[in-house]
Amino acid sequence: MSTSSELLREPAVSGRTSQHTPRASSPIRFTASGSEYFRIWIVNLVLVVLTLGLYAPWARVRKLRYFYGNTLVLGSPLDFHGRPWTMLRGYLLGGLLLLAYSGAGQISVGAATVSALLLAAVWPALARASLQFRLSNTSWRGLRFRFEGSTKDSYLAWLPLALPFVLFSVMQALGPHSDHPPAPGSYEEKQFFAVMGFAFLAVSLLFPWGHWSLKRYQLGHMRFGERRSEFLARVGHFYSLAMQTGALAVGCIVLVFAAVLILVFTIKFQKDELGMLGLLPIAAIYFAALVAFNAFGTVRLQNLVWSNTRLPGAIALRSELRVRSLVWLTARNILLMALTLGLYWPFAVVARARLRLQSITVDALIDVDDFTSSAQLASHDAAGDAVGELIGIDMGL
Amino acid sequence: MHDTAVVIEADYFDGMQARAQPVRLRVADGFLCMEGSVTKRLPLREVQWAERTRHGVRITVLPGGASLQCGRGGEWDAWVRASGVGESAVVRAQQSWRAVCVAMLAALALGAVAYACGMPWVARALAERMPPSVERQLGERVAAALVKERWFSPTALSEQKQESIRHAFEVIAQCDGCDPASSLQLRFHKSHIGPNALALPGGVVIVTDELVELLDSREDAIQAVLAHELGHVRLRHGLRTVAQSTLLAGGIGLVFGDFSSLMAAAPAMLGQLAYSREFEREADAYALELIRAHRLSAQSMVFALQRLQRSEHDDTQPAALSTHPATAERIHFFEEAAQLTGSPR
Repeated sequence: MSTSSELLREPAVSGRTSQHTPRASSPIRFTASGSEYFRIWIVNLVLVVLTLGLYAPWARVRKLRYFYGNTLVLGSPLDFHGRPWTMLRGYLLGGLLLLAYSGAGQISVGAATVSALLLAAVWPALARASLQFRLSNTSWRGLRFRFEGSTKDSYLAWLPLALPFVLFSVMQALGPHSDHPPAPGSYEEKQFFAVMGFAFLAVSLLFPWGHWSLKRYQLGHMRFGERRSEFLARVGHFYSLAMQTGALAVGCIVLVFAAVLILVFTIKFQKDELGMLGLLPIAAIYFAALVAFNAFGTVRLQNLVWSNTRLPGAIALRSELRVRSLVWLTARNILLMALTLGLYWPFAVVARARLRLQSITVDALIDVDDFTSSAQLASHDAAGDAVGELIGIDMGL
Repeated sequence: MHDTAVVIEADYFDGMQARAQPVRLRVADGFLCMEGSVTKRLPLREVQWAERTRHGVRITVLPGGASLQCGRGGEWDAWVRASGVGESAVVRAQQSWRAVCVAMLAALALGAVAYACGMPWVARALAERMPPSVERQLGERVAAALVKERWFSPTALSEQKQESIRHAFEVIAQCDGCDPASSLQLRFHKSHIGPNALALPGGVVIVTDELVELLDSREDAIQAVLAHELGHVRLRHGLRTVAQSTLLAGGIGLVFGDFSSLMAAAPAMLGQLAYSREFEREADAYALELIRAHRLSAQSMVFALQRLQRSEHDDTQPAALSTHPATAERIHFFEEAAQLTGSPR
């Protein structure tokens, strides 16, 4: 990893930002400790339980302020300014939506479809409000971030993912009615499966595009000071990542299958009644494959997304997280959590955040003191964005 | 107040530019006084103090979007304390291992109470307030799904046999203060899950052909099994299961916040299975009451359970991973009851 002094000594080798010599360059530092977050977590958890969940926004603000205050970007921490009372309204709204959605699912297929479509119709607006809330309540060196994506753009960004979802819901409602199940092998049944198969294929093909358009919407509309962020990754990158992840998934499945076959045969030949114990190695292999697969997706996505996000002419990021590191950390975290019946959880969260954040290097192309926010923007910040501030939706995207 | 105020150096950010402006701070007469590149006097109640932690930069938010930052946490905390600014009980608790231990015990106790009493109580209250039409609709959906997923196919039992079992069902279903038997529905199905009986929300009870065969059409044994299923129906176990599993998943989500779904799924599943075993015990107790009320023998249930036990290929599943209590335990429960009342038949 290159330190700032190295880069300053050798300006010619500063890589992608060859036109601009970074004024400063350093990896993000994360100074939180697991034991301290454990203390914060357990005390706030008791309060949340005692208040039947109503204290959750206060606990959330405390967690975010602790994590932000320990995330040092070029030596200065981030800060979170969300007000718990505002966030409580967002929590209540979210809870209500979730309750209505799951309740409708229990009543009838028709009600479930209608509520799913309604949720899909308001989702992009909620997601935008959430981004606005989170960013306009985040600051660095006293300056607030802002999110400038429009509602219309949010709907457009969600479209590739919404299409197959809507198709699925409608298909499920129009599909053969459960009162008269189609005879096995009948034309209706084949038709039904063909449509479902098509919908599944559509989701798989559209997913990388949808994922890319969402990330572009999220990361291409941030404002800091007088600059608007740029998201440089192209849709091809996301398709290539999806194909690699898919290939890995197939590899994992083959591996698990092979392991199962080998185990089944050895057990059979030994005529040994292993029972549940025989399943243990299979579960372990399945678990390992799942961890490796998840880590691969997370790491590649983080590197792709953050290395391609910048404030033009001011800040460039490089993410160099390695799959191996995340696999080991995840395995360790899961093992220790199982051994401590979940009490290790806060330590695991901190360790994971540290690994992920400290693998990002920040290059400043201008003097950090030169960031300014115009008076107009500052007053706008203070007033806050109507929707985001009113209900304080925080989906943690 | 503290007039001989202690002074500390910090960085002032005005909220308009990212430049840090070094200032000296002191608290005097209810005001925060700032000197250096910026000079200001702010009433203390307008200052949003940083919470004390061991790690991290202290950021104090001032009115109008300005802020003060101090990277030397220990020094800052000492200065705040010396200046007479108080802190909340929550912050003190977070920094004391003794309070943290108390919180840990409290969390475990609260979790245990919520799991053992709170959630079942709320679930029962919700189930009792649910209109019967919703319950019936839910039951019909499950029934339709079971047929659609080909768990069940049409019965092969003769009309005569169906009629006699139906009669036995109506007899056992009668009791003081129960819903009339007309709200119940007995259905027969050939199944791919072997001998079994199911109770769905709303009063649909399904008996498989295989169960009737297994019990050699011994009506009293079939009646005993049906009494158990009636327990599920009348104690509204279907709705309560839905409510309890939702509450359990929500509770676990609350504890672990943005949790890993994999890690949260395992405890949720184990907890749900324990609830399921509890419901089976409740239904057994209800069945025993019905059996006694109709002057039948608990031995009928013992017979049914023994036949079921023999038909199961392996009973080696660990207790924690099972939806039902061990069959041996259930047989023991009914045998004891039979000995207690003698055999009135």
